[in-house]
Amino acid sequence: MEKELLKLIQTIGNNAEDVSPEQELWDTGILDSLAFITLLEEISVRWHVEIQPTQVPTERWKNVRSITKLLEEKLAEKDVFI
Amino acid sequence: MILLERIWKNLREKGDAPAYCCETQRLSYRDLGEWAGRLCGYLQKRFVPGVPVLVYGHKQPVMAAAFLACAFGGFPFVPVDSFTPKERLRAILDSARPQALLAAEPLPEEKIPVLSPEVLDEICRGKKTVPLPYPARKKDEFFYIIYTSGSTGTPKGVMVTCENLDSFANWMWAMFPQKPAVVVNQAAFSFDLSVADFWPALSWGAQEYILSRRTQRDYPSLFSQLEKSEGELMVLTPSFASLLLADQSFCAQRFPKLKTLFFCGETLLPKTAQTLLERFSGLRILNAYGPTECTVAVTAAKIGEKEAAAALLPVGNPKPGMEIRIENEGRLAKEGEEGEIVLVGDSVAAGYVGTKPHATSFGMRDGKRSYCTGDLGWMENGVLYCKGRLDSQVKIRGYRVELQDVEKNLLALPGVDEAAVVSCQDQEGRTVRLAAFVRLGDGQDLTRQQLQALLAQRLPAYMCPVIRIVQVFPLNENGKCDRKKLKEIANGKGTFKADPNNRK
Repeated sequence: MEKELLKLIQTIGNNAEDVSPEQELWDTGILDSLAFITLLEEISVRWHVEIQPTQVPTERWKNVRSITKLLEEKLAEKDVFI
Repeated sequence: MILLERIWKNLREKGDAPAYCCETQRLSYRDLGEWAGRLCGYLQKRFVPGVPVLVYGHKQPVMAAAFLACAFGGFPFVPVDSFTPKERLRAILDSARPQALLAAEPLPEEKIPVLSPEVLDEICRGKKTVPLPYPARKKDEFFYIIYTSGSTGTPKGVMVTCENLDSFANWMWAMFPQKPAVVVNQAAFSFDLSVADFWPALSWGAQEYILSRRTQRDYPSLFSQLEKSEGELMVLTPSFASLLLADQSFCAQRFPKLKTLFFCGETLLPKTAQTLLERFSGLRILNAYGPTECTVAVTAAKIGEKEAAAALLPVGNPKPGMEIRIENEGRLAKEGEEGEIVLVGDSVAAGYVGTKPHATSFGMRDGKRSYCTGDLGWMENGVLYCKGRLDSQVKIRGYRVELQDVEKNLLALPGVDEAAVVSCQDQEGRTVRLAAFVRLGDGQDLTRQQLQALLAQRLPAYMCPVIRIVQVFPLNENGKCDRKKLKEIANGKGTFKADPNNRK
C-alpha cells in the first residue's frame, strides 16, 4: 500500500516526483491545503475510507510512511481486506 | 474619517472586551488602544506623516497595534507577511521606499530604521499612557499600500485612500445591521481580503479572531480554535471553505454561532455553496467580487439555494458609490453581453506606486476614477457575473498571480533562456497549481531541484510552480510558444519529450 500511496502523492503533490516514503510532506510544500483535500478524496474513492481530518493528529500526515500506517489502521477498523 | 472615529470610540470605551486574539495571545480594547497610542506617539515624534511605513510579520498582536498607530498617525502602512521571501521584500522596499520598518518578526539590518520585535514590545508596553490622537485624516491621503503580483516580475503597490476605505466600511456596516460579536480572519495581512475582517471588526467593537498559518495547517487545532472562537462572521477564500468542508464536523451542530461567510478572492463554486447550505441551515453566504485596486470588493451577492443551483454563481450588485460597466472594444456592452468588467467610483484606488495612472488600467470615466479589471463578465438585471480573465492572471487558493510575474522571475535565474508558466485545474475547474516549462541555455546543467530552490528565494511558495526542463518549446502557426499545448501537457492531456535533467 505504501507504494500506491507514494504514487498518489507523486501525482497530486507539488514538485513531488522524487518524493520518498520518509520525506516530510508539509514543510517541503509537497502537500498544501488543496493537495490535502485531493488526497482525502482519493483515499475515499480508492480505499472507501472516509477520514475525518479533525480526528487525526497532524503528525500522522507527516510523510507517506505515516499516512500508510494511518490508512492501514482505518482499513482494519473497517475490516476491509485488500 | 468615519471608520477611524468609530474605532477610536471603541478603543476608549470597550475596556476589557476582547479586541484581537491570535493563538494564545489576546489583547483587550484597552490594551490595543494603549499599545497603539504609545506606538503612534513614538512614530509621530520621529517620522513624517504621509510617508509609508512597512509593517512586517505574521499576524502578531503588535501588528494590529502598528496598523492602528499608522492609521491614526497619518502614515500609509505597507503590510507584508513574513512568508514573503527576502528578495521579494527587497523589491517592495525599493518600490515603496518606506521611512521605517516595523518588524514583528526578526529582519536583517536595513538602511532605513527597523524597529525590531523587542523594541516594538518595549514601546507598546511602556509605562506612560499616550492617548491615541483623534483621527484627522483627509480623504485623499493614502491609508494603506498593498502589493500585488505584477506582470513585469516586480510586485506593484496599490495605493488605497482614506475615502476608499470609508466607502468600503460604510458598505460593510450596511450589510451587517446586527453587528457580529466575533469576526474570524483567515487571510494574511499582505492580502486585502484581511481588510474585510480587521477594520470592520474593530469598528463594531467585535473580537478579531485570528487563524494563524500554523493553526490552519493543523486540522484538529484549527477546528478546536474555530469552535472556541464562537465566530459569527468568517471572511475567507472559497479554497479555505473547501478545506473546512473536508471534515464532516464543519456544520451548524459544531459551530452554532457561525451565521455568515464573506467570500472573496477567487471563484466560489456552486457545489461548495450547496454543501455549505446543507451543513449550515440558514447560513448567509456572501459572494463578493473586486480587485485589490478597488479596495477589497465592490459587489456582493447573497447565495441561497436558488443561486447555488445554477452553473455559475453571481457576484452581485455594486456597492453604493460604484458603477459597473461592461466594455467591449471601447463601447458599452448590451445587457447580457460579455465584455471586460470596468469599475467606476469611490472604491477605485489612487493608482500604483511610482506609476502614472494613464500608463495603467486606472483611468477616468465621466469625471470619476475607473479601473479596467481585465476580468470577463456580463450584467443581467443589475447583477454581475464574472467568467474569468482576459489575460494571464490566475487565482490560486485565492492568491492573485500574474503568470508573467513567475516567468520573469524564472528568466532572472542563471542559465534560464526561456520560460513559460501555465496553470493546472482540477475537475471542478479550480486552479490547483502552476506548471513551468524551462529551457536552459547551451552548456547549462542546472537541475529542476536547483531551479526550484533558487526560485523559492525570489517568490512566495504559492507562486512557485512545478518545473519541467525542456529542450524545445512547442510552437504554434505564428511561430510563438504554443501555450495552449503547454497547458494541455501540464493538465495531463498531452505528451512532451522530457529533458534528462528532469530525472536528477
